[in-house]
Amino acid sequence: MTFRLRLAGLGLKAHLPCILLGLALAGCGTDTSKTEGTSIAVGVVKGLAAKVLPGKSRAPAATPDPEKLAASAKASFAGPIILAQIEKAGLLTVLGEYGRNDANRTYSTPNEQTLVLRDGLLIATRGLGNDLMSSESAAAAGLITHRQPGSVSRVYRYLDGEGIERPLPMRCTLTLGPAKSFDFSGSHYETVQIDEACRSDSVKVTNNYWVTAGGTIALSRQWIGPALGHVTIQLVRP
Amino acid sequence: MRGQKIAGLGMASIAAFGAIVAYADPLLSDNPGTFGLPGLIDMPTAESVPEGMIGATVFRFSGGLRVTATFQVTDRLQGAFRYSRVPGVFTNGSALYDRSFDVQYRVLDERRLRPAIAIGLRDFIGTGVYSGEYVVATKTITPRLRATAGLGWGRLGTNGDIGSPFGSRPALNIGEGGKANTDQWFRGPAAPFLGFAWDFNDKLTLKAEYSSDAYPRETAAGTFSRDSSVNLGFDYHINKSASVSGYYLYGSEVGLQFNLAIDPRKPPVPSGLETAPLPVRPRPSPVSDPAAWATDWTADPEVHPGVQTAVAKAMEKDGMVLESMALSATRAEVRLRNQKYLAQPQAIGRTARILTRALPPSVETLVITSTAEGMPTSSVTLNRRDVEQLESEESLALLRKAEFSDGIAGAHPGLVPTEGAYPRFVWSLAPYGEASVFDPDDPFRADFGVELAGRYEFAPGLIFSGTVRKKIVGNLDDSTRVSDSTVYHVRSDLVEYQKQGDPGIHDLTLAWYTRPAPNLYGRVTVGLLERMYGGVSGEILWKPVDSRLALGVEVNHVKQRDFDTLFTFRDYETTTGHVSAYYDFGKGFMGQVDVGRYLLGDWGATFTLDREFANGWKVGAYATFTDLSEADFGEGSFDKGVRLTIPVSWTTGKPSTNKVSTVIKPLNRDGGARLDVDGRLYDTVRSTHQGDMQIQWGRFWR
Repeated sequence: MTFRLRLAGLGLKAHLPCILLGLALAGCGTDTSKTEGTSIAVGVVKGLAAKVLPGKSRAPAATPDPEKLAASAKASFAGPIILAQIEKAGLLTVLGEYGRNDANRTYSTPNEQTLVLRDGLLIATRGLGNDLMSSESAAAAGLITHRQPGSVSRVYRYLDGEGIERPLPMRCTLTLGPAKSFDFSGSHYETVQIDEACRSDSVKVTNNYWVTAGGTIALSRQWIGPALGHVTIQLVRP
Repeated sequence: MRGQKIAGLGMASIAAFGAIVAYADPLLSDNPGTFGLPGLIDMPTAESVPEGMIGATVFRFSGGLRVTATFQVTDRLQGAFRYSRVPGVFTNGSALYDRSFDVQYRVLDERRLRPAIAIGLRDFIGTGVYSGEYVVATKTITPRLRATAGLGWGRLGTNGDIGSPFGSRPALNIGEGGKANTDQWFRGPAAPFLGFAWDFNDKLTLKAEYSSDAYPRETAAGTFSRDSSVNLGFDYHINKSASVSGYYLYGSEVGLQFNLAIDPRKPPVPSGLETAPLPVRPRPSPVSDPAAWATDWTADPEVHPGVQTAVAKAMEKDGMVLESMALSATRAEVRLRNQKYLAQPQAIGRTARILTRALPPSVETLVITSTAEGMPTSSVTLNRRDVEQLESEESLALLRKAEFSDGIAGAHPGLVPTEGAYPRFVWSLAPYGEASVFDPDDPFRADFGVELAGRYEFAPGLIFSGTVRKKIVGNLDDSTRVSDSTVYHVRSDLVEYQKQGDPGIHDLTLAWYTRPAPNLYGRVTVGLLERMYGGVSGEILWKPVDSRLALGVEVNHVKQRDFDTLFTFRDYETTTGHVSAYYDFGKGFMGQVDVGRYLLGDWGATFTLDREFANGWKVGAYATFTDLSEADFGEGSFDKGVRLTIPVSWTTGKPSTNKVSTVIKPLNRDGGARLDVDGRLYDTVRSTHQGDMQIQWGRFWR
């Protein structure tokens, strides 16, 4: 029993400011099943307040320079790095590789959201919301990394609003585009552009890849899914 | 929502004007009438909304107020529950507050020349102020124009009737109300009604109808003047879920209505706003690195504790508790308490990912046992190689390889409790709210205050917990309503508890959960079980891990608590209990029957049917019939209600096991009242059993 009391005492002490100050609004404690409701309510109130009350609006954030982002990532992280921009979310971030399973490489943002690439093609995302759960893209990858035109099938999988996994089959046509050479983060790339036009019954999207002679996708703009739209992925360190 | 076909055919509408357009799909509409279900204005239509949709409407005009909740139960069947106010209908000029239920069934779909046809019953188990039956046909004339015609009985047959095709309507025997008025259905004068709905554009719909409702009681009361049978209205969609309607009614009145349509399948926020799971780490090839696959580590006493600590830490970071773990050369078993993810497969998937990163390569069999209230409920056995190979495949691929078994069946050798997992203490101090609705004196009252809750777990399954409430502000104690129940007040003195129980100990119990044998679960709870009763409650549940059927027995001996909600009791003591059967019908329908003795000592049965969605939404209805006479039960004749559960994660997109549940009961009376003990076994164990896990397996890799 003393143990229990001590534990309780510790908890109460740590939460004392919360109890004294925030009681009217927020919940306190270690049992999240009981305090979550109020934290949501507070979040909603704050969100509404931010909308209603002027003056506190954020200054438009300056677009970070991709070269600088890449350089600082390289300085702080030893493994493979990519730079990604999710267009709809306006999120530009570096991701470091932190898992490798067969040819699948998992890259994580500093906030623990991940992109999974296989041969440079995006096959899954996590932590973004409305994630791409998995996809079958081996046939497409075979043609793209060999810079070959052609026609392939793909399957994308998502969770629907009930959380049930649903496949989205696509038929894709690959065509060769112009050559392009560019420098990024200390590397020089000689690439050919490959465009992939995919369609299903309900969606029509395009992906673009800039592929080196060795089959490396140095830069790409790939479709994640209906909700997240496109992501641009740039190779920083292979 | 608006049918896809219509949007798609928009271009063709000019060419098709005047011609009959063919449809084979259910006729869908997102324009409710004043009674909540899809309709014209006061008149119904044969339209439906997509299966699973929930609607709420508030309609106000001088002749009354109708607040209606609707649910599309199946593709063809829809139901409504309504709380309404009809002013001045009583001889002393006071208003009638009434609750009513409607159902409508679409018998035929629209096809070529044939209209969609539906049959409906309005207010079929209330006190009958809105009682009416109808057969209605709706036809798409052009993609934007729909025509409706029907024949109504009861209230819908009071204006311009054509005689009584099925005989005269017997007088309404209100009695205590609340019963199905079966002998009245489709009897008495029948009157035709008709109307049109025209989509001006995607947001605005205009409506006109000829009403067969004479509003006899309202006009007699003088609150309403019915100068015409023609009603006009519009319906304007503000966004996907909200719309407003305005009406010019019966040549004399203006009506306003607000409508909300909620699709449980469409959360308002993206789901999966969480940290990504750890990637699976494959083992080195046994050919290139045979040393890594050696099993001599089993002789090292440091390995198991080291691995267990690492796994426990990683699981804790992901909102899970490793309660205990066994580790041998080829097999690992972990007992997992999931405190974060509504879908148990997500917790199991994250645990499996962690295990691939922590276990020595020789361990091939992963047994992940879920616990609920300390009880091991189910084990999922996975081959580590499958986890490695199927990480980026469809989730079904691994489900096919996963084995489900009872959490205590078979041998579970070498389980070592995780240090620090027990005893465990959590507490919270949070605001609470309590509302009283449907009180005719003041249809909405509420209290707000703070609730202090604590929970101490001595060991797995042995839990001491309590809740204390202190009101800060509110007007529940303004109620002057005294229960008119002629039987002993086992439930109907709620107002007294609300008035006097401040501060009050809501509950204070010691609970013990146990697994007496495979397929069996047990619970004993003693203490202040709920706000009104204290005593002892015991329960046994039979539920094989892969079974659609579960059976349970619960026996309680309880004493009624004093109104001050502290430690003293009133002079009422009883034994109550039920034998229960639970069945998963599939397609999201769950049924439950409880047969037994209720708090008043009345014997009977409760029937419950729930429509459950894989994401945790639940909409259900129940009814209790006991040997208590209708006269003794009082208003409503028997206990019934609807219930709704909304998972918190649906509203936030973030992982959470929390749900918000509410039961909407028309009346709180004493017959058919059950004890409200916390932690009943079926809901405690179900989410970790095979049926629920298969439905939610899509989240395994998330």
